[in-house]
Amino acid sequence: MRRLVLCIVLLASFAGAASAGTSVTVSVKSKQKLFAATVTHPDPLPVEQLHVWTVRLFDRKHRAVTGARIKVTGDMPAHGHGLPTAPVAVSRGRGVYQLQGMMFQMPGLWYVQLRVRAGNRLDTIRVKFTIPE
Amino acid sequence: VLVGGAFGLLFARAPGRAESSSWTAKEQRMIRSLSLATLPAVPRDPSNRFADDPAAAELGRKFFFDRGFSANGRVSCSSCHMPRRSFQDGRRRGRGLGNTPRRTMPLAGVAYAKWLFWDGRRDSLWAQALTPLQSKVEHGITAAFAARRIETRYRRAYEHVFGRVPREANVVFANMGKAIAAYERTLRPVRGRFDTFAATGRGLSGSEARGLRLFIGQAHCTTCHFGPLLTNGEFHNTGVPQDPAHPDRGRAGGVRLVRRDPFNCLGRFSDARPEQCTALRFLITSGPQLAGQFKVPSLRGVAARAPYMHAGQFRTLREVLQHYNRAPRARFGHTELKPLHLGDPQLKDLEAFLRTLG
Repeated sequence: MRRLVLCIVLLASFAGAASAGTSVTVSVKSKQKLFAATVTHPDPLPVEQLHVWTVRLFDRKHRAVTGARIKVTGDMPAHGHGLPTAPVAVSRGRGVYQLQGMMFQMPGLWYVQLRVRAGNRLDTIRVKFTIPE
Repeated sequence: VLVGGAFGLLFARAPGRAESSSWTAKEQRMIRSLSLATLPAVPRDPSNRFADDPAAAELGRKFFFDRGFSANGRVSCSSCHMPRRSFQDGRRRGRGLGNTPRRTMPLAGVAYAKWLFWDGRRDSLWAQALTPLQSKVEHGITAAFAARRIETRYRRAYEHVFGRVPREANVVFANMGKAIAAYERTLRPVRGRFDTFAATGRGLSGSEARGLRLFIGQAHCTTCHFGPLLTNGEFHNTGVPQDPAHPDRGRAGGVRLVRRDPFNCLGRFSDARPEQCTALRFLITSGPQLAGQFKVPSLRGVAARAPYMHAGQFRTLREVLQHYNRAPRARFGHTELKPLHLGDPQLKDLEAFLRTLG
């Protein structure tokens, strides 16, 4: 999975418990390349704090994908568990989705998976990152 | 920068230094993060508007020690949460009117807990306090019983805090829990020698300092036991032995129970607005990882609280450390542990360090 750090922006759009600071935006493609997305999350990622991620979802022609249903799961392969919460994806229109209820209970290597269904298209986006101790 | 510099200088003089070499910047940062000095203010509880009311806390203290709130007149909260024993009882499993299936948890620092009980089946301290009262093997009373006793024995103090005693027993009962919670929120963890070391760089023996280094390094303890309370407050499967006669799936049952608890954050006895109940809103309710998960306890004062784990499976800290070192398979789900391959001297050092945590 290619991952490209695009930019660091001010964390103006992040509501929730994470302390104000910077965020990072990564660009990812889904497994079958049906979707592309930019995923924005706090940087550094907080541990044991609810926070929000923002996903901008595009199709192959870089058009915003609206009305998608996104299921969020996490995986910490070194420990064999996922997220301690069940995040909820809330559409903000124009292909923008807020992932509310994000939380990580441990530092270490994580995968966050977004199972995206839009119309008859179904694909998975995976974001890999490490939360330092 | 100045503080960090002074701290580094102090650590360079640490008595443990000769045995464990100097502390890296990362280790120093980790040590500071574990110190009680970094403990933030007690978090608000929006579901309990009396949480920080001193009069509620004083009334709650009386409730806590009153054996009259039990079916046989002999069981109070303090029967298991004994003040002289760090608010636990030293038994493998708690004992009220009968035997409970799990170990009594200590209370110091409990105000910081997001989930209560080993399986997290309650989402606030006040909802937790009500649960043993209604348990047939603990206090064995009903909300109506508690409300009658409050009306006859505590009317004046109750009305001073909560206003006129209402007719609905559950409202009185919920307020009883909120008063007990207000009292329990005042129970704070005690500083240990480790905290002195974190502040001054002094006071740990060579063995204790080596144990500290293992704790924050090779033994990976701080993966879950981090922050000034040495817990992430979450649930993990560490493959602890299970009693074949009483197998316990831990968190897998707790998530169901907390959702249907009438005294939870979203219930009508809660003072919170629904949008403030974020823990419940984003509660994970299914998935194989929940099976066999139990709450990560604080390690504050851990040496004085044998036996260990959710049913007192381990008699000593040494047995606990040996379990983590071996990382056996779990009865339910998958253990998150990996064998540590530590030798006996290292386990002794780790144990020595754990004894410095107050």
